[in-house]
Amino acid sequence: MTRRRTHVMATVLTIGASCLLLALLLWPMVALQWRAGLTGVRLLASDAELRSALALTASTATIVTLVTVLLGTPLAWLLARNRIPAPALVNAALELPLLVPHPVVGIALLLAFGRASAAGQALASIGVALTGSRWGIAAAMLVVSAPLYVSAAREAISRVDPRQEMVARTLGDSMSRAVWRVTLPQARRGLLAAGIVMWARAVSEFGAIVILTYNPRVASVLSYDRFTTNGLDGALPVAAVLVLLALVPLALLRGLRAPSSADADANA
Amino acid sequence: MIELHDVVVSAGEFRVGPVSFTVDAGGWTTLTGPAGAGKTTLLEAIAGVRRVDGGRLLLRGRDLTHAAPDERGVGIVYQHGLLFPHLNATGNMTYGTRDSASATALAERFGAAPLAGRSVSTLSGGERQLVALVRALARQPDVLLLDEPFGALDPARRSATGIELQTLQRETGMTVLHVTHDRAEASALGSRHLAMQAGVVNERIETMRRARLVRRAADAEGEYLEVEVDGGLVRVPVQEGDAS
Repeated sequence: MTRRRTHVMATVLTIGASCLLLALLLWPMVALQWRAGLTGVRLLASDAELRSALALTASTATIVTLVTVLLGTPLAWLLARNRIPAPALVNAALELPLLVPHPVVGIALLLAFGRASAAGQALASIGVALTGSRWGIAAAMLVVSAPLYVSAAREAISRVDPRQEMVARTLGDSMSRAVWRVTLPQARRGLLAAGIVMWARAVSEFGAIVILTYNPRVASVLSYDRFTTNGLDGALPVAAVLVLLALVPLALLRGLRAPSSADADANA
Repeated sequence: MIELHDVVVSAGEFRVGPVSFTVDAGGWTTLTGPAGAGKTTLLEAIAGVRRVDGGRLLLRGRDLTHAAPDERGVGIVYQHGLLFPHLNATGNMTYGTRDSASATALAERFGAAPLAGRSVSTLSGGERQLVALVRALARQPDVLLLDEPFGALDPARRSATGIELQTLQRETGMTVLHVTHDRAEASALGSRHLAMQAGVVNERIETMRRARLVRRAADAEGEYLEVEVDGGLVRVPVQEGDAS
């Protein structure tokens, strides 16, 4: 009887704790949509500033993601195959931007690449200014979100048997060609998911961007600006639109995580 | 010829060697030994799939100890095929060659032609082995490493595939090193037999395993055992640990 009571209590506690956490996560989003979802969608048609902010956010995040895929995939492969010296140091370097407050990332970028720094002056000489420009938005997005891509890409590549690369090499491939023909096709879903996670994180970035570039405004900065200028009622429709748009990468990720025949093949 | 001189290979915590042995050029040599002895690890080291930690590895007289796999001209067939799952059977068989006609001819020769276009996930273990064999042969390697390549085939197909591969080996003069647990298969296909035990590879172990002791004797070169193997008498030098 005592054991049965313990089991029932454990079950109730587990379900209760899970429901509480899910409610804490979901309720603010549901409340936001309930209050301002429809107004937000209508606002998309009439508010040119909102459309411009969304376009700036999405296009910059896309470019930054593509650049990171090009630069980060080789690094992810090196990490996955333990072919990099001091991997602990490299991993720490990748995790650090995720652990520090994002305004701190913005301040560090300002210090390293701002007008007062040597690097900033060099960039200025070729017409690139990190503050108050799209470059600043891109730099902030890259630093806070690229580590997510590299970590997820490393996991995706790790799941491909490294002996397959070596078998491809016995069949005449150079290492880079074996990775291109064997590893990347098998890791493609994981790499795509990594890119989507990174893109979504870049789109939602606020803290690092606002330090470097308040204008032109990305969507997150616009929602903050509307809040400080017009109060809660002014910010709600923009915020609701941002939540709705976040459902797009979420749906893509759900689709990618569904088991496929390719996965079945890989596991066979 | 394949020559290993005090070769040491590591696979994680597992370490094989130092191992020394030679495989005759143009011959079919079998390598037997208990599970976990390191036979597959050795094959991978010869193919360049695994890094050699010590010693020297020579192929065709050239020191290729640290050469990349694509510089060795060695084909390897794994027990489980290790096919590329994102490609179908045809994609696997033609992976290493631009000459798809020769790959098709090999597929027909080894009975893998009906598998063309099939998804790897739908292939049985034996079918995977056939595809892996054709994939390795299509590149026309002059050294072929086989790791239990027929283990998943049914007995009839197993025998036929072995005979066909032996015919091809004689036609091309390819050097074959064949790891197998099947002594009958080793005797039928191999012209020379090596055994691996406790990290040591030599012909003596295999000879003694199949031998019947006739007598222990001595001559000017020292003590020897006279044993009967496959109907013939062979003299084997006495080593420490041999029964008196």
